[in-house]
Amino acid sequence: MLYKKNNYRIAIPKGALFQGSCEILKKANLEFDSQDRKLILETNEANIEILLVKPIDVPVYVENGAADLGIVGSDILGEHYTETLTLMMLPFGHCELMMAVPKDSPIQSLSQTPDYCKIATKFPKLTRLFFRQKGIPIEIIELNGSIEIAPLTGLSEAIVDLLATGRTLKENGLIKLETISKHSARLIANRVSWQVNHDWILKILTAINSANNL
Amino acid sequence: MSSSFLPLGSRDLLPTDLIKQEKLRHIVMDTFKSWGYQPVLPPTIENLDILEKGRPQFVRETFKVIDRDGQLLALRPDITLPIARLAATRLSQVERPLRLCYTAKVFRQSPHLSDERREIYQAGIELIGCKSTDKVYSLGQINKANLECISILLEVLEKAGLTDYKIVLSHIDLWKYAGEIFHRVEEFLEVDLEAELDAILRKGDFIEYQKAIAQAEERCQKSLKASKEPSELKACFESSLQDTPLNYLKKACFELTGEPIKILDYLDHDSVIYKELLAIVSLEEIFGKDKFIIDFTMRPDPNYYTGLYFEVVIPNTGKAIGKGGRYDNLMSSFGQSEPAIGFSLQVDSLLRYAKPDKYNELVEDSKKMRIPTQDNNPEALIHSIKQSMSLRTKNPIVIID
Repeated sequence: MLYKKNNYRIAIPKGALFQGSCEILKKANLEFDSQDRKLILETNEANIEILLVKPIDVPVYVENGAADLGIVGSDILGEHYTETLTLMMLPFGHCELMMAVPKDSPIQSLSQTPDYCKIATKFPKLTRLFFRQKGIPIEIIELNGSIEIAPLTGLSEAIVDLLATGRTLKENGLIKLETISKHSARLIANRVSWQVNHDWILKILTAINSANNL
Repeated sequence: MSSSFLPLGSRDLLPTDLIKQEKLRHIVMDTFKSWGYQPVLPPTIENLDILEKGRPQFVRETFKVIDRDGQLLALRPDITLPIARLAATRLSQVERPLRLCYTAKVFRQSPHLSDERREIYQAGIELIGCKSTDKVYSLGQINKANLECISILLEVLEKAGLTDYKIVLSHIDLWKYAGEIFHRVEEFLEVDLEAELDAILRKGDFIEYQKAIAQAEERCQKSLKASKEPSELKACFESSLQDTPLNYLKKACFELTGEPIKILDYLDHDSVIYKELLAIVSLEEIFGKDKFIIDFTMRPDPNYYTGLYFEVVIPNTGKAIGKGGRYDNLMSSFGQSEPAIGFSLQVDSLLRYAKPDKYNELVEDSKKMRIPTQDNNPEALIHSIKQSMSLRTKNPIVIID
């Protein structure tokens, strides 16, 4: 059976990009109550809904057509392959993926990274790619959160994680060694929606664009 | 792993599945046959080198098999390739155009985790060659083949019970429209900008697309400043940079998708691509409005497709359920140069998105008649079998209980 979807949907991520997402959509004249505890939010436009999902699930909703558009960090797009269209860069959610080590680590530069160095990360694909390009063989310890404590507990020698302000690093006695890649928010679209609902998507794009240029 | 598990991506077809599938298969094949297409079925196992010849990028997705002699074989990942091989060998002397159709399984390991299916049941047609002896298609012949192919596609979708679908059209030659600027930019920069932009669009990354054009623009400006070309030529080039072409390219990724009327309007009305697409869109006269969308950002694989390319999509699902196009170079990789066009549809997806009642009735309707009998009485058994055989002339199913 085919599920009938009558509304346009935009999936936005909970967490770090939530505030920026709300603001940019508001600038594009989409009003909704972001204090609401509901996960499907109505907007001032009768036929547009906002979906609140985990950041990593945004591309999943969009790829499968459950949402037409989505807002997601480029780190997630780089780490998890999905067949979506990346339409535009959004001016928030800036952060970098970086390698960090404890302050007193014997590794004080990238070139001192020992072979098969244990690196804890939530981003195994991007990490592996970076070190392969550098020709350094590593061992990846895949974690899902609290990456900073891995080197403090002997689980790993270094970490690769996203850094927005650097506060968590400092509080855990870590220092940044190397930037791996820079990231920010992206607007993505489902390809079939792009084809079928093209005029609506262009309208949203134009509204976001002109809000950005103000 | 437990031996009672199925391999990843495999499935058992249960009676109700098969009954539906068979009914759909009949509808589809009868439609193909009514247009003069004849059924063929290539073998399940082919030599791997036909793939390497015809479509090398398929090799990774193909299941490889090794025979006793160490020969590397492939479970066919596609039906078009074996049919091209057949058309170039045993059917090479048969009158053109060749009209062939099939329903058959293909075997693939998708590189994407989200699609686990490894056995895909496909239905499709191939229209190979043309009557004239020249090896190159005229526009009239291209249109004739395109329209025949798309008409069959639309008729099959309707007959299979699909209502909410769109045919998305694209064409390999989009860039020819922007041709002049490409050639001038490329001559100047010695980069293959056309191929670069094409590859970026195939990844669906519009940000990278804008970056590539901005970089090309910058390189142009730099080499203009450095160049010792006559100033006349410089001026002409500079104006062309500010003028439509590069701006056209910048806008292209956002503007070249949507309703056919709007998109066709952007194209040069004397161009072949315009005439080809206009002819196809005119089919709405027969098949009804709003069947087509043009999306030039959907780029066909340039190693395979040579002209028209199209996908069948179901809105709100995000996935294509069938695709096709023109592949005029494939036949020459089997030693016989001929134009060709075709499409394939996923049978499972057709069933999934068809009107729900279309295939259910058949399963429920099969009323069964039962004749009771006694196991320990051979005479009564013989009688029951005899009775059942005469009852079967009027009742579709008679079971001896």
